[in-house]
Amino acid sequence: VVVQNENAFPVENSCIFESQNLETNNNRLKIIDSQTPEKQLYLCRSVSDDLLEHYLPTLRILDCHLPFSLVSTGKYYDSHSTIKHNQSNDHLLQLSIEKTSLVLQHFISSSNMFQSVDKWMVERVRWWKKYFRLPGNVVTNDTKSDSDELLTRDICYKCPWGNEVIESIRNLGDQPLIDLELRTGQNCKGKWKKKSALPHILQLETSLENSMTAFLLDSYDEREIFSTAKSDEKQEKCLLLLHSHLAPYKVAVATPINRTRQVSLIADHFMTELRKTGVMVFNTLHIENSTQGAQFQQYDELGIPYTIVLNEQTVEKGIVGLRDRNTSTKEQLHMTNVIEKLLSYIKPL
Amino acid sequence: RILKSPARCSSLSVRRWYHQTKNVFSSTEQSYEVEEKTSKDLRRNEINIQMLPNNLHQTIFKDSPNSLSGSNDMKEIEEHLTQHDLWDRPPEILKDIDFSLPQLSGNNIEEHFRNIASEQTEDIKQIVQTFLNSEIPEKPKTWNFAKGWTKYDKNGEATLVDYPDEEILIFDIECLVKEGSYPTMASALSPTHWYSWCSEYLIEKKFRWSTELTLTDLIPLETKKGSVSINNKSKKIIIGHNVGFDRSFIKEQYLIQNKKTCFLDTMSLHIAICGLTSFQRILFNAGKDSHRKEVLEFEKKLRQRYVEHSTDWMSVGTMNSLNAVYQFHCKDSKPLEKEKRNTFVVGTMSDVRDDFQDLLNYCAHDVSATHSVFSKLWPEFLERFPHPVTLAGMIEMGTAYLPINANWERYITLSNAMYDEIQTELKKMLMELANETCEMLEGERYKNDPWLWDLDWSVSDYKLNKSGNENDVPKEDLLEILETDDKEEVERKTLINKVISSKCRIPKRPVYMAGYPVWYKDLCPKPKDEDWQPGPSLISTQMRVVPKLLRLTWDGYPLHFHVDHGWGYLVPGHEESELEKELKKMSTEPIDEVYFPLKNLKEFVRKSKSLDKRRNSKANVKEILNDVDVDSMEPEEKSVHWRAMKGEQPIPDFVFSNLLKQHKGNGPFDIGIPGCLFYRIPHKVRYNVLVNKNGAQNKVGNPLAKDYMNRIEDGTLRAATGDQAQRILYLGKICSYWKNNQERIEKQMSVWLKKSELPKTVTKEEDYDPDSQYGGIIPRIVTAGTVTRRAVERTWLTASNAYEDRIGSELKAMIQAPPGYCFVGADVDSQELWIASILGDAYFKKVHGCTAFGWMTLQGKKQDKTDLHSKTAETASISRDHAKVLNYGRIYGAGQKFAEKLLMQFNPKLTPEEARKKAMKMFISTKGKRNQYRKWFGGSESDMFNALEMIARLHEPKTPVLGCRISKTLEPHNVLEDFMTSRVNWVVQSSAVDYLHLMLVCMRWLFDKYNINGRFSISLHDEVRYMVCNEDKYRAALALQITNLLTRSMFAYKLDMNDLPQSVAFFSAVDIDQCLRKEVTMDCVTPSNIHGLSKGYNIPPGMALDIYEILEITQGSLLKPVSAKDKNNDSDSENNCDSEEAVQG
Repeated sequence: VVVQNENAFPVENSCIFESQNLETNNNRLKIIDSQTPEKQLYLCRSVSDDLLEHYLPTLRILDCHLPFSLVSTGKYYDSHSTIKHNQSNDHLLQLSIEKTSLVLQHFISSSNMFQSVDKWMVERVRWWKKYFRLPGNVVTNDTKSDSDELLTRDICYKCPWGNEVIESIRNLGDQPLIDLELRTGQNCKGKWKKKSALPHILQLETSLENSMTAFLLDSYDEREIFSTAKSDEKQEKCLLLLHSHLAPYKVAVATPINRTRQVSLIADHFMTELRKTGVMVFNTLHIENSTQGAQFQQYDELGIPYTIVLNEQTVEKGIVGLRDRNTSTKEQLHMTNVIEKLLSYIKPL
Repeated sequence: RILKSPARCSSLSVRRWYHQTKNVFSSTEQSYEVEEKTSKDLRRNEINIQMLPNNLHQTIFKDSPNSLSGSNDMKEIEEHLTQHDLWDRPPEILKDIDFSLPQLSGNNIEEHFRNIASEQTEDIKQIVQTFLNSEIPEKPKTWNFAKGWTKYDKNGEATLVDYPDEEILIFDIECLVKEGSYPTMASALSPTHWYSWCSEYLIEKKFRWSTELTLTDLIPLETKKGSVSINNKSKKIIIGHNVGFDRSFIKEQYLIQNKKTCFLDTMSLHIAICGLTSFQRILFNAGKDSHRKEVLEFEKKLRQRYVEHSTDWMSVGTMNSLNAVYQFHCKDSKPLEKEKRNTFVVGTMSDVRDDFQDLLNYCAHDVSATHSVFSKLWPEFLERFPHPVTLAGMIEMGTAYLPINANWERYITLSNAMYDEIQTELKKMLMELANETCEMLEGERYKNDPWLWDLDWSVSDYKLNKSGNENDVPKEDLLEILETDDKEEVERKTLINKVISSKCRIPKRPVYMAGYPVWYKDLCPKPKDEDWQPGPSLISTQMRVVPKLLRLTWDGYPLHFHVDHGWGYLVPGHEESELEKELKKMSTEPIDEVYFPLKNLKEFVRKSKSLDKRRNSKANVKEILNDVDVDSMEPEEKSVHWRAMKGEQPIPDFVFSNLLKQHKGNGPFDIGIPGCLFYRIPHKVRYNVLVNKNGAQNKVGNPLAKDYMNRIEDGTLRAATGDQAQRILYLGKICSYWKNNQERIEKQMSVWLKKSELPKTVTKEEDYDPDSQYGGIIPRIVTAGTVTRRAVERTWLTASNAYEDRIGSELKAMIQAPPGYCFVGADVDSQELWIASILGDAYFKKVHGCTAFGWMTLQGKKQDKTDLHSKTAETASISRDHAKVLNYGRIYGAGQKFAEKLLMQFNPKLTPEEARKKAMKMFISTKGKRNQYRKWFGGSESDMFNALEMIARLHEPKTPVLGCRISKTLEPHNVLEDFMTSRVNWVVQSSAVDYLHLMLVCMRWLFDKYNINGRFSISLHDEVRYMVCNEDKYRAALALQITNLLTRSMFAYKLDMNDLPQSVAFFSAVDIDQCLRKEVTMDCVTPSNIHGLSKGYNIPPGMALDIYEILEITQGSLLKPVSAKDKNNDSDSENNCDSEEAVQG
């Protein structure tokens, strides 16, 4: 999102504030009564509210020219949600007080608002769907606020217990800036197309915890191999089908049971070579007495997309198998081509 | 109260206001001319059908005598209606209507239409005649290479002009395909001068920065550069071949204000006079030795009939291209050099520059050819289509205009985004399916799968060459052994280097994706491909492997593809007979038998069938046990069966074999799979008026195609792997509309207008947003594009309605009136049914509703089940919606065979014999039987068919109302008995076109006469839409109602039935709406418009007003209401459309 916006300003975020100004602290969580009574420490309760504090300085930097965006990421503490959601156990994630969010506020002309919300909605849904295994579970949800005009559009993931919001696109209108003007007494108007007016705020907010949950749920699969045979032959296996860009470990090395020293050396070699390319490798070479099948199963459960499979043939001919978690099939390659191939499979498109 | 209502309130609040006032009216019994009369005063005809009220009847039919039937006739009518259980039904009483019609011009309704149409066309005919009488100037030798218009005088001298200031022009444009929808050059011919036009991008080597079209890109014909004011007062006539295309490049056509330019299309004239039906075109192009199926079938049919037939029609008509038309009508003409055209198709702007003289010559030659063609066609057209309404109607049809705004581009963006998103999801799912299937390779499990067994599972291993030169391995690939390395390190490096060295043995072209089965590799792009990505990304629902991967079933049986038969399914149970077994034993040669997992197939079918039973257990328990004597069973045995029914156990053997034996379908075929029979998937029945295709014989392309959506919905076609696969099918369905229409929708030429180019009516509106976009699309209509003279256009005239599950199907609703305007329009209620029925009534006893078919059309009611569709539904015991399909099919000439196919499609459980009986019953009760004089008798529609066939068989078939002759290629002396379906169909459809032309002419007359500010927007066959200034919308609605009344009266008058039933006199509703849509309340929610029109596009529901409501609002008057201010000041009311105090209604 930031890359696509002109004039996007990153804002550093601290979760603890030291402040005397009571008025601006209304929405913050007081945590510590410090020794000196005139100084209080507060916890940040919303990343987006604090972002607005940076509106005026940024406007001045740009000589009042619109549009521009502010973006921030950080932790915030929300004790309200615990109470709010306690009754229904549905939104499990809401129970934690500490939350991490990513917020972008886009200050634009009100006449473009409708199209902008549309545009971002399309853009963001597409982005999310790219990384989910079951993009059909990404759904959108509209909630109208009390005033008719302001619209919040949520991008949700269908979890077994209900929809979890992973990103919300919100038209905040100009009310926050009207309030800011009142509070600060400063002119908040910006310029575009020779006109001077109060911009409207389009806010995109993502929750890290919710997204993480969604990705984990999405990638977990108990795969039953379809068979027309009788039920006692049924096979099932667990997989963590994380998108290869999201999987922390991209590759592991599997060796045959009771491997020879030569195989071990080649395995070592691969580890070294792979690390040189910056790819995260899962090291299991210390495990010696596990069959290849067992190793594959472990890697599948860990969500590792690729496995380099070595055996005695590798020593003789240099032929290596590159196993794809998705197909459970080993592609045969010469040892010298494996890393290049692997990189082409996992590089971002 | 009415007068004081503010002019500017939104349509929604007007509606609310209106309903309040309506209640006030009824409570105070203060009704304007709408009042209830006692049923005694109502006018009724001989068979008790309510006719027009006296006043209206008097105005329209004056004292024209009503051909009264004698008592004998009455008896016949009574007999006929009694036979169909329609005699003496309680009459429906409609509220009376009384208002004054505008003064008709002429002594009767026919004269009236003749007069108003003549008024609209007289000057056109005159100008054309003068043009045809004059000698045209010679083409200039050289063309002027200059931007804009150049005028050439007799000596070829060129002068630059703003636009050709002429009354009449023959006109042709060329545009460079690579440039997009921009005109590149044009030429024109008037009675006195030649003209040429060049785009500035042709003359100056300018770069086109924007892809947005504005008026400056287009060709002016009436205005100066940068201006939109039109000065010429007289009419302007533009003639061209397929002139609708050229029209879309003319600047002034995009202005909202109505203009006086009209267009004459030589292609339409040609088609009306001697065009070919689409089937005739196939035959025409086929030649002697065609192997096209349709042609062969037609020839076979001819041989079977043993009657004389004629191919004379081939010499009286031809194809529609300018070249074909030119050579056909102008016998001594040389063929046009169409090769030049290639430059415009594949060339660049500089190619055009290089060959400028030749290309403009080519363009001008087309103009000359069009002139010659027009000179031949014009007199013939006037002779064959003598009624002025036909010409006036065609001209009006050629002025179609579709207003759009910023929502147009938003719609395209959203549709594309949604489409791409779903395509990506679809691909992802298909790829995962292919990936998962790979696992079947392990242990050759695929061999036991009734779908996967015949995929190509062969795997090739990665192989190295026997030897290679180790010196070829570059040093830098090897690990360097350093002196500091310890012994272990040296050992390690030596080993690695040894392995690396085998690199020299890698073959030049190593096996790609060694280890993967062939079918999977086919789905993966090669690494060299431009858009390579990992995985089986080439997979799509179009591929033959996909139904297999999805493990699709038809009626519970696995799908199978056969080279000769196409897609079908496998049913187990073909046991080898004793004889076959004997033969096999005797044969000494080893039999090359296909390996097929029969056991697994049986296992699967048993399971899926028992699941099926569980799904609809009640209905099927009996069916399965049909042939089994349940009573004689031991209790234990019985319980086995019942458990089987409940799906707890696979179906027992004999029930299972019974089930298989009972299976009916399109087959069976023995395709060499042991123990299995193959059945074809039934092809969707499509009715084609021209060729009665026998559906079952067609191969099936792809079971995932659009045609099978219904089967997926009803569960006949199902994926055995569960939800994911079902979703793939669903996603495919969502995409189908946009996939098929995306290109032509995106190619629509949308031209945007600046503020100065919009009329004040628009820009003074409060909701006009100067930052937004307003513009228009000129639909490229061929005003008479078929032999029935129906208009043809690919995008708008075929646009579907919005469906919840079709991306982009909200297309029509994206045509949105600019601020200050709205659409006023209506659908003609069951237009073609009424036309057919009134022809039947006229044929029988000349009394409205005297035939059963006529009676049902006029008086039939859904709740009494006396309407046509309910009657048929009852006869054939099918749903009313299905009956509708059957009825229209039959009336358009479909035969009994088609009805059988349809019935079987509606209900796959029907046997062919049952279907045949049902269809026959339906046909006897409707169409009837033929007697020895080849007349139909006994059915509710017999007389209608007799009437249609009589007209079609006349020496010179003409439409009964406007006397339009049939295309020469369908005249009886040229075709004898052939193409009867097309000819019968022509009678109704061509009359429907007459109906439309009458409406267009009448509306133009009323708009002009009462100064209603509006213009024709578009007509979709039985539907007309006008774009009207908000102030005049109710008057326009009343005008539409009057138009319907007069049009139907004209039909009745021409059929010698000087009266009209009130039930059909008016539109059931006139829609006043912001956009085009089927119903004013439709919100057009689709996947690309999830919020609907009112929320997502801010378009409120429109109003649908019936005649009583319109009369209340307008007080039955078409006159512009006088505003309060004008009343006081007694000033002229010329400008009150702009005044703030203008009043509503």
